[in-house]
Amino acid sequence: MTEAAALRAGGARGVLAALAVLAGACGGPEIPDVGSGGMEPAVQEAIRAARDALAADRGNAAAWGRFGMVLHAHRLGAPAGLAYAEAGRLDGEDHRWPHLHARLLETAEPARALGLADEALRRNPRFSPALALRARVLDAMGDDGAAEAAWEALQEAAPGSVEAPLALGRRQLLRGKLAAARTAFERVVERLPSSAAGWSFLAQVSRRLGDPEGAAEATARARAAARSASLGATADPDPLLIAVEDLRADSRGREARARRAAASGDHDSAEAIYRRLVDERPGSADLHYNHANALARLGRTEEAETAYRTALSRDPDSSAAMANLANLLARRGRDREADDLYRRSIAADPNHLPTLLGASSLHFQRGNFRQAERYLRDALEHDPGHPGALQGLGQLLATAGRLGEAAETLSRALAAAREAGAAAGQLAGIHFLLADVERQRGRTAQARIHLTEAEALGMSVPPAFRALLEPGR
Amino acid sequence: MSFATGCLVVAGALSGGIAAAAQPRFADVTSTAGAAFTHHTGRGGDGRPAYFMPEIMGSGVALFDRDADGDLDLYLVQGEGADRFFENRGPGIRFVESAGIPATGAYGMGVAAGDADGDGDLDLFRTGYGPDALLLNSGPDGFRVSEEEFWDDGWGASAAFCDYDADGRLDLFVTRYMDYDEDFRCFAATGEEDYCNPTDVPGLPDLLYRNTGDGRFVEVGRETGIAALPARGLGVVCHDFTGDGRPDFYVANDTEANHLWVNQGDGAFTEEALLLGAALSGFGRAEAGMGIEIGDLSGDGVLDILLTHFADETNTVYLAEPFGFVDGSIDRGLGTLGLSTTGFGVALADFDLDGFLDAVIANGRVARPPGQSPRLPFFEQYAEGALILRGGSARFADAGAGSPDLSEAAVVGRGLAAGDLDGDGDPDLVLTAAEGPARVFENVSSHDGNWLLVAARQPAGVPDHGATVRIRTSAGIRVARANPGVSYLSSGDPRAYFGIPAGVTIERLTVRWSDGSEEAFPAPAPNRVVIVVRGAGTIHD
Repeated sequence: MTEAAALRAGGARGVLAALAVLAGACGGPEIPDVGSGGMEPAVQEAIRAARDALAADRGNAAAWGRFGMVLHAHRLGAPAGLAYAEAGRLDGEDHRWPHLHARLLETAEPARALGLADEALRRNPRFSPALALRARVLDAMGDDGAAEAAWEALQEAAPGSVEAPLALGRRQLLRGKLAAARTAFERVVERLPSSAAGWSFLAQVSRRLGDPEGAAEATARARAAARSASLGATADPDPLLIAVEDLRADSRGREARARRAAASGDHDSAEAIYRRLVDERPGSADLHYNHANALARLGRTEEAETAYRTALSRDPDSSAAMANLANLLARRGRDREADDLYRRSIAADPNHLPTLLGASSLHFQRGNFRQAERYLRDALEHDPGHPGALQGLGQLLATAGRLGEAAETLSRALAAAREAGAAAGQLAGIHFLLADVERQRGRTAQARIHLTEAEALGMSVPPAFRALLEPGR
Repeated sequence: MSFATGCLVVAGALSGGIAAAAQPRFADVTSTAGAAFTHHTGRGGDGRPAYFMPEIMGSGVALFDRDADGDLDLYLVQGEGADRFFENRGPGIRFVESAGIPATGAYGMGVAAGDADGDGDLDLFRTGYGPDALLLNSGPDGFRVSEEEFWDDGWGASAAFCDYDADGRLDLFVTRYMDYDEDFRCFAATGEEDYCNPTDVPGLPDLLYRNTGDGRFVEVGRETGIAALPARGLGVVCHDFTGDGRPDFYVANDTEANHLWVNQGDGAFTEEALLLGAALSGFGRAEAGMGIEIGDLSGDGVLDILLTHFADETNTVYLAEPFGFVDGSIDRGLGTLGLSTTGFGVALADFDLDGFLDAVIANGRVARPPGQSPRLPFFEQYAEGALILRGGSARFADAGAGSPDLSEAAVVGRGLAAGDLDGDGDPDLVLTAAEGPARVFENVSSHDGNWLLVAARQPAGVPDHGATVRIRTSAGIRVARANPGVSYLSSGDPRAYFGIPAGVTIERLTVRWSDGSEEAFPAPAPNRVVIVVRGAGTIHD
């Protein structure tokens, strides 16, 4: 939202220092020369490069579009709009330019944005981000019937959409059609379990349907989702806007790109971006830390260790850096150094959960169950519903032969992981541990249920356990 | 829990007798009002970073009758420097500065008015980046800082006095904005440094102080449950949103789900905004909540909520329904109106006396347009005009053209308080701006309607901040708050205000006191300020 506003403000106030005619022979519009005072050199360079490429080929729609995207990426809305308009004029079939132009104008000039979305859809009738934009604009303009039809069109074109069932469910809720609304919101949270909005609406509709337990559970899920900064997306991803974001050349934009790369498992890209960023901002402990994480993920452990130590030289009290370095050292068998680091980290922050979990894991693997349990109980004292700590404690208790306690703890871990919207892998892992515990307790039926759940969640059941899955055993 | 559904009325019925040209209009009378005040951010001074976040959040204003002479005096909070206090010396809008304002040591933010010590006069609670302070009314000597030291020294924002435990003493809710680190720097997409986006900084739990009655307040956030959910709180309003006779607190959180702390009646509160539909917009978005107003926008006899937000977000209307709240912004025309500006302070009142609630929203950016750094004086890059909305039976309409002094003169608008400054019955405005002058606007709406101001007081004579006043008229039921604690960082007229279209008569007056009990009073004539005292059964001019 902040950035969208900046975009529009850039348009309204005029960021153009001057309009320079770089090549006027072909009769097209002038190429905007944006003012660069105060901008990061990397941003200036990115804009200059895109403009130079355009100046060399002013009749090229893609060059205008690319120039628009670079400006758009840096929230320079007015010149970006000019560039998109020219790109769209030069190439009457490419849906990207009217769509991106519409995104620029979505809130500031909804009527124009609607026209541009229609043009994008004329060029590519099933382009779902344009369908979504069209529906949003119609909704904002209060054109109820057209908006509903637009949302239904989106639902049909993009069966995986979260935005469409959210909007359609809300309409049903307003009309008092509670069962239909509940179905729609259930679809939202099924597709996006981290959707605070989906859970919140589900809570509201459950309450109105006289289902207090369902309302309470949905409220708890909504609150858990609301703790995350993103609250779960309420708009479907727009690949063209993501491509625009990827053109951000400013340091923070590249940092965000590195985070996205790391989150998607592309640690090579993340490492490359962080490497350049630490050169530019060598004093940043966070950058060295993130660089170290990327290196560790790539298995470049010696470089990772160096990077963690650099991060700690910048911020000696960083529990996160100490914990991750300790984890790295523990994996390399340097237990004493790892243990020292865990202790330092706990001294800096006694409630730092990754440290407590890492220290517990170290002691667990070395057979020091009592110390491992102590760390986990410290973690749970701080966060009683932490799924990872509960899972670790359950595993530890099972290993120690305290099977009843283990089963109870792992059941709590499972509930907590579900509430937190944990990934399938973690849920499968807990089910597998429960299956093993129940097997050891002689409760074969329960063990089979958990093993079946683990397999359904994508876990490959070890051969030694396969027999459990056979009925009658 | 059951919601107050109130009496159903046909909102449109109040329009009989509206002058065709009725619309809210305001004239800037700052130069003659005698309340010269300029907010100083102190930008760049005192070893502060270049983009010290408290300075862009501005400060508040309080309208309150300090000397109990029947008119509204004016208190303005300063950012860097001393606050200022002005006594109302009407007729007309005429203020004279009064001395006796003690320094509190904090970078000023918000202010709330209420009788904190139960001595019958109005005190002030001042929030800040740094220690908050209670300023006790010392009569002709001005104010003195309470020597008790139980106030927070973090970043306090808005505050609201309210007797949440029905013990007859005003308690105090204080929102806290964020756990701000002055060394943390933030940048726009072009790499230019700017004020931080709130999502960069973690929030803090809000604070609830229980008035113990011996001159002390005890912070009870942990015991009541309010401390359990940290967030970036800005605006707060106290009102019985659930209709169970107990005051609740609704908090506007910046870029996070809003909180509705529902009073359980046993000293505890539960947060129910997610369950009741007042946490997120109708589109499911957590918006940048800044200021709050409450008023009956749907004409059903129940107070609805209007929240101001960041640009690209609606100024959102949460309509109170029997089952909770629904986002009614689009139906009221706010899907597109005001979407390009960042709203802070807000006033909701029938400014043009046509029977419909109008709205004024103070606007001002918190981030600079990219690529603009050297082109304008620094704070002008954040300036925007105010939004003036004329109410109608269904949708708001932009009424800015009639008040260019307010809608076109761009400032970094922040605090806004509405109240009848000149004693003519209709609400005027005071607007504060970050690094700019506070401006006083006289309501000059042309109309042929009437008005009624109702001061709802406890037997001891102090305003009942949680009271709701209801009048039955020949055109239907109207409801208004008697609660100064609305808007952003500010405190407005504590009297319930009604605009009454020409030809409409008042038939009955009922007060719902803050403990949920109701009391009926004889119907007053219009164009009067009336005082209703709990238990007295009569009204006074």
